[in-house]
Amino acid sequence: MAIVLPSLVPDDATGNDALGMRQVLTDAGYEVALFAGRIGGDLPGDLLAAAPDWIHRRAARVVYHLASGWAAGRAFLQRTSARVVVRDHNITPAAFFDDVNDEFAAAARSGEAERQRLANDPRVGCWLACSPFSAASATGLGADPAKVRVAAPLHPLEQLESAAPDLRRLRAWTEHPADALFVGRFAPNKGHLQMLAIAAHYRELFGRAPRLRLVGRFDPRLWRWRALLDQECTRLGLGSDVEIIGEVDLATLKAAYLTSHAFLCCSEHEGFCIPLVEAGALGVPVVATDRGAVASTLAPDAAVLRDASADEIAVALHRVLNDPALRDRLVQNQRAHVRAHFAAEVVARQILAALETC
Amino acid sequence: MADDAVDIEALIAEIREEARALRARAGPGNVAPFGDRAARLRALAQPLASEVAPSAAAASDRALERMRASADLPSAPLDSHRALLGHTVALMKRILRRVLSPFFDQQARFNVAGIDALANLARRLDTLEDALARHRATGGDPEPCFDYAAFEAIFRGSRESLRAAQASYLDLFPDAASGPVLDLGCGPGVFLELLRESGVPGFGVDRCNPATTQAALAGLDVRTGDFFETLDHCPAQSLGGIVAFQVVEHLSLPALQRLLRLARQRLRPGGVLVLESVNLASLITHARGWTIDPTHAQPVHPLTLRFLVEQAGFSTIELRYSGAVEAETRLEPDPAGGAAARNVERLNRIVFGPQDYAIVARA
Repeated sequence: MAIVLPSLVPDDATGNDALGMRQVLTDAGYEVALFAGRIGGDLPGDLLAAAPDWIHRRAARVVYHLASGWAAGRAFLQRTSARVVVRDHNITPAAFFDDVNDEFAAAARSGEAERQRLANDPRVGCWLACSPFSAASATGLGADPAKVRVAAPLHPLEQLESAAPDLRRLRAWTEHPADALFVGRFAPNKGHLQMLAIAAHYRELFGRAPRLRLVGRFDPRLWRWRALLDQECTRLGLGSDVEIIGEVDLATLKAAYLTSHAFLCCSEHEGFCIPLVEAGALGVPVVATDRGAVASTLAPDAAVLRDASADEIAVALHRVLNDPALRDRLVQNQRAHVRAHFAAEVVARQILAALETC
Repeated sequence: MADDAVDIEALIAEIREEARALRARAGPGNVAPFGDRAARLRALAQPLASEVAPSAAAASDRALERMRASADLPSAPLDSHRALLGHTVALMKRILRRVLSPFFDQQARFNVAGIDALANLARRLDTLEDALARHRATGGDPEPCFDYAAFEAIFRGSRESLRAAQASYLDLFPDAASGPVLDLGCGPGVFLELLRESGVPGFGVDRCNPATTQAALAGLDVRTGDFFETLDHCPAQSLGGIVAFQVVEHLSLPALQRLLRLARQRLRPGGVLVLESVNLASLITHARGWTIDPTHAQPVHPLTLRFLVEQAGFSTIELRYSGAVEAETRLEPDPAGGAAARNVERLNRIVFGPQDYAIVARA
């Protein structure tokens, strides 16, 4: 069995899922090889061209990770006679990147087109979506519902749970804990602007702004988006209430979760949203808006608001920050939900069951 | 319902009611709406235009006010005498223009030359003041001089190897119409020679050294001087290409940003910018090209340069890698295959990757 993905980058959701899948399949007795087009992000060339011939044969089974448009991947799929399972990580809609970065918008459009084409390709034997939301959107594009399965992405959650927090950050942030944390790359679909508006509304209703701590990778090509966030912070007078931390290592991430009173998620598009699982595992209560896969990743009785105004989300955040009993119940429920649905062995079983019925 | 379950519907209903009550108490709210996202993003792409326009309008209003005040005309009747005097006035204007034009042109040339001379003097004064400050800081000892030309002659590689490496960029300048190409830091003029052989017009600029003299004697258009002055003197949108091989790592960040801004202005639409530098993502360069040259000012990671180039307004940016490490230096693959072979391949990629990269961008 072969696992094929466009790029293998450290601490990337697709890469973690592919590596985890390799481990799960190997443990289950499969012979597994992993082929990434690129390793490390900025090295030249496409390594998929160097993959051996056997992955093209009819007897082979290929799990193809769909996370972006990928020319070499398209060429591979056209050539191969292997049975193909599409591992769908969902594609962020290109419209989010219009006016932000042409290259990202073009890549997203290419990914959308590829997803549409694969959803209607009869040679795809199975479609393994990472969430019910992704599954529904794939069937909406034309994928055969009988071929669609759902399994959460594999994520090394235990590494974060067992990691020691960065002590310097832990000390500093214990003195200035975040009222609301968000973890996710700085991209236009992640809802950062909404969080800033909510902070401004919170200040109007409760007399002070919550301290927002925003952690996540920043791609310099999205500088226009980042500049807009900075401008919005200034416009709303939130200068000292918003901390933009950028990309962090595991120890700093752990410190960020441990020193936050709540996790606020206003993402406009998520294929799964791993930070919600991390927050659940580490006991940070979540307040979220119902977009994309957010609701299906959270427990059924989580604080998820549908069609809510900024005032309402601000009030929800205030409730969670100031009602210990509510916070404890949300934490317990989310932790139980994570254990029941996203623990490594549970997801491994989902993936094996899905692949064995493909 | 279990004790620890949350009645989420009831909670959300409470939250909505509380939000309504709090908003009624707090008043209509002062958080101004975000506005049009696309328009705000586009405005970020042109900060100067949006900042300059209002101030220019205000300055224009102030100038009008001054004119009105000095002319003292607000109460004067504004009757036109065009019908009576118009033809005579127009004739007199034409005669005066013909008589005075040579004097006006001469005056304009004199003004420009005077401004240039003052600017040159200011630059020379800055240089002398810097040198004096350094001289004082070192206790009056003369600064040691580093002979870069001699250094480069030994370490930059043979003319043949440079020709082979730089020939890979010729595809960007397919014919004479793709010129003229300005080579910043042209050294011995290798790329200018390649351009000439392809029939593409080009000229270069570098400090005065034996290599540039030799290039000039070989009939190449090589000028000595400062990059920024050379770019300053090029008319806007007059160049088809600008190339700079192994130059950007010698510049400070402000100087690099200034270079990119000027390059963007001097290239015509579709003109090509090529900036080649040391690929620090390949670890062997830290033991070779990067550390061997003591005049390198700061490392410029490929993605950093790409960001700066994009910020300067260039589009369709491409990264090209070159300078493969020779086979005898790379780790030998394990013929047995398996994990060892894969690890060797991985190490080769990280440690012995391409030693140079180039940003290729279009204006």
